[in-house]
Amino acid sequence: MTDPWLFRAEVSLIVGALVVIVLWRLMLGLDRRGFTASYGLPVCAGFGLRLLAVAVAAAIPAIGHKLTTTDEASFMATTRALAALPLSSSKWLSMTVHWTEVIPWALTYKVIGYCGSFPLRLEQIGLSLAAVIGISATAGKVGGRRAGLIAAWIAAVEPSSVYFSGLLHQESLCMVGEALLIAALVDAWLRDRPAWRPVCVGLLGLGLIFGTRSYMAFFAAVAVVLVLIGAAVCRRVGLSRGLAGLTAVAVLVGFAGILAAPHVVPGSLANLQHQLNLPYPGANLPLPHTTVTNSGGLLKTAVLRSIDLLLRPFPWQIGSAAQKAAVVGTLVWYLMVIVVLVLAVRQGLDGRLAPVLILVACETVGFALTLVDAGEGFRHRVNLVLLLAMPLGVLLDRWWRARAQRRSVAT
Amino acid sequence: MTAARTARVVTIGAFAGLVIALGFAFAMPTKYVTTTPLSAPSRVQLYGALAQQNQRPHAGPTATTVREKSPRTERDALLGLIAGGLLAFALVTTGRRELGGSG
Repeated sequence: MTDPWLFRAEVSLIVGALVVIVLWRLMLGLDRRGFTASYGLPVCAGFGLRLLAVAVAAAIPAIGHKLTTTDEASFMATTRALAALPLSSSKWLSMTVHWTEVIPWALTYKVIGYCGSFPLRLEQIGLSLAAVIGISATAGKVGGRRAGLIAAWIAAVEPSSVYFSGLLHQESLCMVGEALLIAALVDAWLRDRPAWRPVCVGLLGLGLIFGTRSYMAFFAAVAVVLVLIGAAVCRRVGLSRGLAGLTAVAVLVGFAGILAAPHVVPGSLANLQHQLNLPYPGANLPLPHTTVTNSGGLLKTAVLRSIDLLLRPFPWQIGSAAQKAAVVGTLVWYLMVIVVLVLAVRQGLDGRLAPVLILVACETVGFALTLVDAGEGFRHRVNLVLLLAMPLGVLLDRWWRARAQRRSVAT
Repeated sequence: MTAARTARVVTIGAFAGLVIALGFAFAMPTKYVTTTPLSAPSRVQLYGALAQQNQRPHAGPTATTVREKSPRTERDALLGLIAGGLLAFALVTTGRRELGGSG
């Protein structure tokens, strides 16, 4: 028997130091490929804000309690059960494939012993910031150093991302997968010939998405196919015609899929319906009942729940302290969407942003189809926040440059 | 920063971590309570006739041992050493602008 506080503090310091070292090496590693190491400041700010959010959630039960008593409790129980098994157990392999997010936590407990939840939260924060660095590096590759820096600041300090980064859930690792996938897709869009490195990075990203959310891997794979086809078509017929054709084909194939799904995968849809009907523990932002077992219901669910995912919870839904805290995140999200739409319309669409917009569209439908509660949608939305930070950085950088040019011409 | 200076800072950090860990291990709450279940004959020996009449004090059938020092001091000291060294390394490396050991 020992004093647990000293032990937990030491383990937290070790994990925290390792997180900082790995993030710094990652930043410099990307810098070597031609990006910049100037993301240090936003990453530090993001790290500090995430630690503050963990402290606030722990200190104010009305904010932190609701999160940590629902899904997180079962994740922790699974982690402890897995850590109790020997590494030779086949459970480790099956959990690596289907519950990948649990593996770093279980390994921590296996190596060090039970040390509370804070070291695991530090790992989650590290993973979320690795995703921020990855997405910023991609923005920097497309729009230059300042675009990457703007994307880094947005992704690092956006309130809902800050809040959910310390949660023991799927978000952080899934976001790493998305950052890797988008880097590979942008690479594939820019290159004429396939290269092994983006292929490996893309497969790793898809693997992480599958390991954390297997259903989302299907929609991410659809995005990969669309991007690869789009890149080839746009090279031949031009950007606007290529994207218009791709959109038309994607919508037609989507409709065909919705019509065919009840006949092709009735079991999967019945399972999805069962999950949508389940009462969600702790949920207090319910969405209207929906049916996904027939084509009409599936189409209606895809459209209406996509709107729910993007707009709910509304800023006036303030029934609890957690919802009041979420208002800032909702407002920032609205602002991000509006600014991206306005700048994209005013500046014209940059083809190099097509991969991320395609992935955002596919993931929106994927999350929407599985959405049980508006609060769950709010959590899922942090994945879209991360992805949207990239085009926002590029578009804002271009707007900034155009404004500076206008001023210099005027003077 | 040279490799030698990095090693020096890491060594100082590790030593500081070790000292702090040992300080906490010895200075923090010094009572480590261990409870051991008591067998029926031991209960009779402890509580005498009261135990048989089911009127013994409401402490439960356990014996309590109080120790003044953590038996895991060695582990805490080792973790303090590692934590201090890693923390120092993190502080030193995040100041660098390039990869490489000796830069």
